[in-house]
Amino acid sequence: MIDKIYSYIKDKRHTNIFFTVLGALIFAIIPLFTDVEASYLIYFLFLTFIHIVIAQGWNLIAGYAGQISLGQNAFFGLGAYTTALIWLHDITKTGYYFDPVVMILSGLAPVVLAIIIGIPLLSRLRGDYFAFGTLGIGQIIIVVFLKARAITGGADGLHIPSTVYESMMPYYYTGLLLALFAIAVVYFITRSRIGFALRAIREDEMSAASHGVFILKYKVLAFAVGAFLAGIAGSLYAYYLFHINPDSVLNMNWLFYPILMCVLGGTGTIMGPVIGAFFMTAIFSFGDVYFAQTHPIVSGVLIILVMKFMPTGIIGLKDRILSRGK
Amino acid sequence: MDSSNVVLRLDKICKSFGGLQVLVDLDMNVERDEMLGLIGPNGAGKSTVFNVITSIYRPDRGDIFFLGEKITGLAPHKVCHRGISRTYQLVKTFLKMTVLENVMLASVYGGKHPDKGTMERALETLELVELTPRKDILATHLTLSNRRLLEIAMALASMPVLTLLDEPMAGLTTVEIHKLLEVIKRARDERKFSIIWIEHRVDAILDFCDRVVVLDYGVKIADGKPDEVANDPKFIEAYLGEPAA
Ligand SMILES: Nc1ncnc2c1ncn2[C@@H]1O[C@H](COP(=O)(O)OP(=O)(O)OP(=O)(O)O)[C@@H](O)[C@H]1O
Ligand SMILES: [Mg+2]
Repeated sequence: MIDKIYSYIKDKRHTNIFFTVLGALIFAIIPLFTDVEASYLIYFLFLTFIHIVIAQGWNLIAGYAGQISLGQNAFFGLGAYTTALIWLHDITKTGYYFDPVVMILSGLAPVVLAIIIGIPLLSRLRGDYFAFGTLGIGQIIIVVFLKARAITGGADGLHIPSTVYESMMPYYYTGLLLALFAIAVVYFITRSRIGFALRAIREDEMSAASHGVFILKYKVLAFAVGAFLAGIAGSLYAYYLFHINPDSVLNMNWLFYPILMCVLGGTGTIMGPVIGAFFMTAIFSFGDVYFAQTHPIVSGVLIILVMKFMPTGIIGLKDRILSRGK
Repeated sequence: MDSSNVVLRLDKICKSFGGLQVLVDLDMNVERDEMLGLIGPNGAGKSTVFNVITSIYRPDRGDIFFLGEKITGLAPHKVCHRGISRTYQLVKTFLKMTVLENVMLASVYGGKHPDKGTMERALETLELVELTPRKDILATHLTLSNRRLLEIAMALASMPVLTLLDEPMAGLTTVEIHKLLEVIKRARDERKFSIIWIEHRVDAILDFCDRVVVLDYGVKIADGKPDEVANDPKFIEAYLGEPAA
């Protein structure tokens, strides 16, 4: 019996599922043993979950499809603003606070943006158009949100009613659920026929196209799913902040941290971004105590260093060490 | 020529890169089940013909007709779905995928074939090129010769009407070439499809093809049965330089 379970887990496909389920169970019961309202651990995990969601989105478009997007912070911010705007303008007539309708709409707004900018940017064969284009979009959105003061409140931003706050519990569990959702979405997409096409595109677009893969369709799809994940993460974070402004939700750190987490953990693997998110959130949580705010340039430099010296991330270290022994 | 038998027709194709005119008013036909050889010196524009047919490049002028329909400017994946597959001069297999995954990709995305499942087609074509024993290894671990065979299998997995082979023998040993020719022969016996075959080994082309087209500086200088072409003074001139005056 034990043998059977052991060999089941050792099968590579099952290892990921096993550890995800095990991790989910452990994280689900942690609040039972901690002082949820006061514990730093709960806040740390909440932040880690949010990072996992954004990082998995980037993992899909960049890690699996090979298209370097630099727009995750724009989608994250757009998601946060969408949540605030729907609430403040009483648009959906639903509950607003932790309202699934609002959260889904906050994911869909970035999807619409991703499709509109993705089609022209991704139809070019050269990847740098996409990287610079998506970076530009982030900057344009910041300017628009700063200037459209009547709607967005400019630099001061938007305030949603913080009196609804009761406990850290819903934040923690929603974060956990979203992280599991993000992992599952990326897992199942990459293991389906779509994942097949994405891997082919990453290796050789021209060859993929001449074997019948409609490359633009799959690139835009991966980009849009990534945008959706960033958007719902932004929505959850908006509920936590209550005060949404360009500085807090469109900050470049929402772009660089998730990328750093992916490259550190291992891009194009399902568990890489998860490992990276835990690792980097821990480091930055300590760092924040000393530096107050890590400058985006620091994370930019770190990304380059990791990609140079650890191109396959933590996940890849095992293989690299094993192959060195040969 | 019975025009209903023509699967592919190029009509006055022109293509240039910058100031360099690579294809000049090229007319060319491929008939059903025909093996057409395409030869010419280095830089004659042979690979460009393939890139134009498969819509990697759009011709500056002229049109391409496939099975009676105009396909000029159609997206590359749609050209594939219509029934044209190809290999590349510099082999383009997916190195990080297994052999079977490579062929699966081609059979899954290459077009709909209601009579046969994707897996069945993939396994069948692997069998055809004799790569079944290697189906689970990564393409990066294959020899050049096997990678060429794999790319041919990928081209055949979509059940094409026409397949374009760009120098499949380049860099192979005599033994490997022999095997490759056998595979192509067997494939043509088992299935019906047309081939355009680019090759530097003129002798092989003259031996194997039903018809040969010779390109020189983007201009078609000969088109006919192998023995006719072999005796064509223009062909001899292109290959052996200036004829003795
Ligand atoms: N994308 C491109 N941009 C610029 N020039 C090109 C391009 N593709 C091909 N050429 C030029 O067009 C000419 C024809 O190239 P092509 O590859 O079609 O020749 P080929 O007959 O296949 O030659 P080879 O036998 O060496 O493969 C060459 O001079 C080549 O340099
Ligand atoms: Mg060539």
